[in-house]
Amino acid sequence: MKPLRLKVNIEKRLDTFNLSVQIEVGAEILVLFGPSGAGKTQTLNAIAGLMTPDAGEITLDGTVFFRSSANKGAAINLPARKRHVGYVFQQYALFPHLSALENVAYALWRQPHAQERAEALLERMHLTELAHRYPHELSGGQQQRVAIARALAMEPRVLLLDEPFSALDSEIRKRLHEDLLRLQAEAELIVIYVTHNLEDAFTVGHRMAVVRNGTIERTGAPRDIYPQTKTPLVMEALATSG
Amino acid sequence: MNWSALMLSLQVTLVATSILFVVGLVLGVFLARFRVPGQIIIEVLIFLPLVLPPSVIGYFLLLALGRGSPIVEWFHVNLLFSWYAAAIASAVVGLPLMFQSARTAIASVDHMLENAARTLGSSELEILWRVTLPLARRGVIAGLILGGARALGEFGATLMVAGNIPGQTQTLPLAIYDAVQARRYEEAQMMVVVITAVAFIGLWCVRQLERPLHKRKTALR
Repeated sequence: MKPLRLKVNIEKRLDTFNLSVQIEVGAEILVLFGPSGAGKTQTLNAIAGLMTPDAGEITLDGTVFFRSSANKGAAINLPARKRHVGYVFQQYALFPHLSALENVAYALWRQPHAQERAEALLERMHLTELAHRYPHELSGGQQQRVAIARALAMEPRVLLLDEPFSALDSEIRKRLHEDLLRLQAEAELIVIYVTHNLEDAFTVGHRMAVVRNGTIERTGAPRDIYPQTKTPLVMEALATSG
Repeated sequence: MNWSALMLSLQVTLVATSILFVVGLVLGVFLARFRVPGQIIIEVLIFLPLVLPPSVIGYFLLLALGRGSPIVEWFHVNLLFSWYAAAIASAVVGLPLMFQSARTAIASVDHMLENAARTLGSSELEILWRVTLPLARRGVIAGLILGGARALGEFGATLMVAGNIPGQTQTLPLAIYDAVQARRYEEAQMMVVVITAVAFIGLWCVRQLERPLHKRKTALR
């Protein structure tokens, strides 16, 4: 498949600050790094179609997700359901009335072989034994695996993750980070990963963008942006990621 | 035991509950999820039957269903003094209970889940059907039982719009009143026991539905 590029250039007036974000992402993991309340989640919401910017443009190659009337041509705001953007939420947001398998099969409703495809996804996320459990019967790490499998079910080209593993302990985080790197490489996904944790940024980020007060301050490879960072955790992360 | 009154009461309650289900759910969804102009006025109107005297509700229903009203003048349908009028009166007094419970349940469904469904390709109607209503269903069922129990006990407005015709519009509460007036206490007693038992079981079910899931031995899903 031809590698795609996601281009985001948006403005939005929020309660406490103005969001003004310009990023371009290819088949890689871009980490949006910054303190909470910096506008990271709002950026993801705009890409997914859950928030409407005041102005600007969001495109995935030829597909226009959003274009305000100020730009060339007519205003476009593609509804979230037509964007095919996978979204993994911080609080998992699994459907509590559906089993793990049913959660993953949710987006495959009315499609052929939904059951088999959902089972295959669960297997990829090492969840086969837990297919018939309900979210409240799963640990945090297991719930987040189900959430990732659910987001991948509709075969998105773009995957957004909002502080996905922040509630999990470091051993589980490490394994999920490995899974994420593998999934990204296999499907050539465009991944945007929001975190306020520098260790996360160093472990999974091919590139990182530092967000502060609604704007992107710097973009680049994690170690170029924070060369002085020498905490043991980061050193270890650097060592394992080569 | 006045069997014809019992059967009629069941019939009236069943129809009233069906009306409650449709009208209460539509109103609950709209007022929980959308900003509707005149929202407070609509809500006050829905809740009015809770505090108005039954005779006043009956009076308004006479205006709404009687001669000169649109349904008589335009559609030539006369419902007054039939069991249909009793069903409508019962639905009107049951609606506030159904509406309140359904709206609260729908409003308390986590917005994040609906957003998740949006990103997974669901239309708004599909989200309502596959996410919101399944998660709100305990509140909806509780509201339906409460509204249905209230409908079963309707007396005053029914008397005014449907009359008290034995075998035609005489429901259990009316039959009890008649039996007591005629000093047929034994007959009244049987009917009192039946109504009280039904109301008790109904409210017990509602309490069960309101209990948090994790406190039950077997999780109902």
